[in-house]
Amino acid sequence: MSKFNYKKAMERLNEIVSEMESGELDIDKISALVKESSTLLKACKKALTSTEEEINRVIENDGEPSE
Amino acid sequence: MQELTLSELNQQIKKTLEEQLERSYWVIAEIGQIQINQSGHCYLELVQKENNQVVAKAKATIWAYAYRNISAWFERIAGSELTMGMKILANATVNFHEVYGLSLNIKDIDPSYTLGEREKARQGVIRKLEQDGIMDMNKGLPLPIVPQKIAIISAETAAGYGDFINQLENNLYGYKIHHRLYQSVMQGVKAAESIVEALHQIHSNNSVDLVVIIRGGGSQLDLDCFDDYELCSHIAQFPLPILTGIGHERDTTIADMVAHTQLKTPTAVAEFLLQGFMSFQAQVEDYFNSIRTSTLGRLGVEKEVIYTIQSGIKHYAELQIHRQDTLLNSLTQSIKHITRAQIKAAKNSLSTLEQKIDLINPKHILQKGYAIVYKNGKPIGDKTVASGDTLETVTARQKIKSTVNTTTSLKNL
Repeated sequence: MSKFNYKKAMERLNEIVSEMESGELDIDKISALVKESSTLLKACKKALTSTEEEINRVIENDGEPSE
Repeated sequence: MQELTLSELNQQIKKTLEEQLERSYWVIAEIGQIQINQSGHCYLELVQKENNQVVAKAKATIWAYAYRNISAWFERIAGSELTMGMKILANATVNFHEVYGLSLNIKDIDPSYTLGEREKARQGVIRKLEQDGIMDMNKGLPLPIVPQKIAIISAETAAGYGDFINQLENNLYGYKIHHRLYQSVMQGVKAAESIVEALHQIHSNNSVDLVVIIRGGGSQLDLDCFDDYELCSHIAQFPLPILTGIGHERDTTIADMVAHTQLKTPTAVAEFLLQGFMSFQAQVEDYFNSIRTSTLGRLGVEKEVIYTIQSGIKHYAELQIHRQDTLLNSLTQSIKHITRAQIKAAKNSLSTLEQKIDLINPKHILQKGYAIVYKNGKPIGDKTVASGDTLETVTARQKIKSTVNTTTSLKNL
């Protein structure tokens, strides 16, 4: 599995929003986009949470960042 | 003419002399020779000189009994025993013996005359030395600061020499002084010549700092040699300083007067020399102390400077560390804030996006009863359709395909 890239995920999400806002999508495609966005959102949330945890751990405990 | 035998003649002379001469005369004469025989009788030859030529001469006798008294008295007053070359004033009777001829029998000698004569001679020597302009010559020589090579003129057997060496070698301060004895006769007729000879020997030895003439411990008599013109002239003109320690009680001898420094006894000479060493040592110690004091002072100042610099460095280092620490802390805080803010911002934008996606999702509209109408696969939006068109309608639960029967234009809602 390739490494998750937050920046690319966000770019993709914004693309999805503009595609959906255009209002020119067929319903099948919408459903697929919604599913994709849902997956990306979850991944992004997870990434943020783990980043936050990592940062807190490093800053508060002067711990070594885990590789 | 009446003839006489020699004996008759001599008797005649004797008789005439006895009749014609006084009982005794005070006679001024110089002792040409003097001799004391085993019985203690003193036999003299009295002379009178003019320009070194003998102009009168007579034998004289002092019988043992008289001699003991006369010589003791003379030595006590004149400070010297009767010697050859001495001028005396003697009370004598004239005797004529048929066999031994004319002789003077000395009953008394006036020592004060000899004293006066000697003083006259002394004054003569002093005058001569002054006229030579050499009286203070030796005094003008600089005394070596620490004389370490000393030539001693003395007699090895003299008690004063022993005292001097003892004092010098057993000094309490451990000073090492090299000394060499130049043997000399220190009293009597030959002393002056002998001392001059010793001076010549010293002069030929280059490595001498100073000369010491010591006698001491011996008889107080026979100091006349130290008034000798030749000796005093040599002492005065000697190129090295000469110290005297002749050890006498009477007035200064001329040798003392012309010497660089005159001291009472040989021991006093040794003390004088050691005193010089001591004051030199004291001076050196003074210098050493002042060097030490100023060095220590200087070191103290430098130490103070180093200490100041050191504490300055420590202070600045601590200050710098503290500053950096503060800076790091604030950086940490900033990083904390910034990252948290960024994460918050990211969360916000993510949640906004989520809401947006949620809002856009047509499922919600469809569930409220709305439907999306497609014509040729595309939402019709605000376009119009005509009768007979085939439309697809998407609801929440169904896809409906239908054909348009009629259309009615609506006023704007």
